[in-house]
Amino acid sequence: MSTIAPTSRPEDRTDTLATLRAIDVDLHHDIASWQDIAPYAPQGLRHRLTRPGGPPLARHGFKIIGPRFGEAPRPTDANGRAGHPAVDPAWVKAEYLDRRGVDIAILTGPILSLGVQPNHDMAAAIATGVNNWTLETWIRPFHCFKGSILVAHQDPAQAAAEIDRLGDDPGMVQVLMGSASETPLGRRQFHPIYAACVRHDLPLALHIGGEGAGMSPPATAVGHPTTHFEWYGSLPQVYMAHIMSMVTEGVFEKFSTLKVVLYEGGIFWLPHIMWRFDKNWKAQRSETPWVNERPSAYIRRHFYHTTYPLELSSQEELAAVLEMIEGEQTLLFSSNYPNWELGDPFAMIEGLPAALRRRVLVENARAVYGERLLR
Amino acid sequence: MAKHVVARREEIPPGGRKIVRVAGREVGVFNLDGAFYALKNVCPHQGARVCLGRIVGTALPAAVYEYTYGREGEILRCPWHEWEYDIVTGESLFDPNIKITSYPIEIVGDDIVVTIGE
Repeated sequence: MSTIAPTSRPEDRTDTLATLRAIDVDLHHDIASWQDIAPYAPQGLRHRLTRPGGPPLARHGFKIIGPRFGEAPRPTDANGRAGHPAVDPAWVKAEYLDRRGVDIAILTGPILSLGVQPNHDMAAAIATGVNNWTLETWIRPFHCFKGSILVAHQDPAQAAAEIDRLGDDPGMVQVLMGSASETPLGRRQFHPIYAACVRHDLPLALHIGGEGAGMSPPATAVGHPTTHFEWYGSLPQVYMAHIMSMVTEGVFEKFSTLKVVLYEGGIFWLPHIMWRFDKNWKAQRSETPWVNERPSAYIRRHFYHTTYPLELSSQEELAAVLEMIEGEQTLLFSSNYPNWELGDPFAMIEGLPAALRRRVLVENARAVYGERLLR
Repeated sequence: MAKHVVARREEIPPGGRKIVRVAGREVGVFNLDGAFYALKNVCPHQGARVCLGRIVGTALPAAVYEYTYGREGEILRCPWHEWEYDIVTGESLFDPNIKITSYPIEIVGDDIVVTIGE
């Protein structure tokens, strides 16, 4: 297995909180060829990555209808053909980050169904390969990019080992798991992953995408959706289930410093589950005597949310919801680059009051990720 | 302030209760191992006759995935929504600010005497 020694940052790094313009917590860098990943993966399983067509990965079964990248910029080759907008770090930096005033982007990669692959060892090997490749080809050469330690959570022991392997690398700022899961994420089998996150003081990112694929249960609680339209619209219920599970199973009593960032889930559904959860807890708390506070208190304290796609509404409606969830402290700017089918990510936050916009673009991310962002 | 004889001691054995009507309201009188407590028969949640609820124990505060059942006979659960109350204090187990009104109680001879009023 290749290991990568951390290298120091360029000497001219002068960013401070005051000079930062925007932190994008969700840039989906992509793989041009699995041949590129193979050298960074454990030797014994490289041949599974390099087979024609790449490794046998169960992704979700839905292809997006319409222009795949929406309004995201696209490179063109000498013949004018559009290329992939997220496979070349230098191009992404120049054409997205620099043009849009983004100083730091957290890479979230192209594989969000790793945790529901039946072959645990292959999934873990892919995670290791992608992590090493990301560090070597995106993060080491370009200090504007920060990494997420991708893990395959169906095997918590290997996932925790991967976090321990890379947890103190200055290029990594969080742990990333697909929210698609065989079973709710509060269950105790996953606690070694959370212990590893806390050990390295790393937030845990959950990202939708693999729901319904591989070993995942259906993407909705009543069965498989028929279309991508139905599938994507249904996904916040997955986060509802995971939040309920993590709070009731005592994850935040055991790991009181754990922060969880929910990607691409929106926020308007949160007041509903917080109220319902609190209401039921008053009568049913004795089932889980370790849940010592109102469930909404854990949700407010431990969960963070991202702006792509932020429910577009009047400023008054948005302010009311943000007040209910204390979202002014917990909302992070995410571009979901290059998947802009739902519109331009900056347009989504245009209507925010200036002070809140600043929080969302910079200050909240600094609070979640701390000094790691500037290392 | 007025003292009211609400029952004779032998009417309410340990573990027992009696609902009495006194000074225009219903009061539940409970005997916990020989100590008596008086609670107004009104749940602070939605007004149910809370003193008719089950007298039980509860899951004690515990580490994650540990279960200790205790305080058997000290917890009153409202018959409407199962909120749990400490019979000794009247306080709900989830928030001490939400509590059933309780009244001072004393034993005078063989009489149970409850004090009600300003």
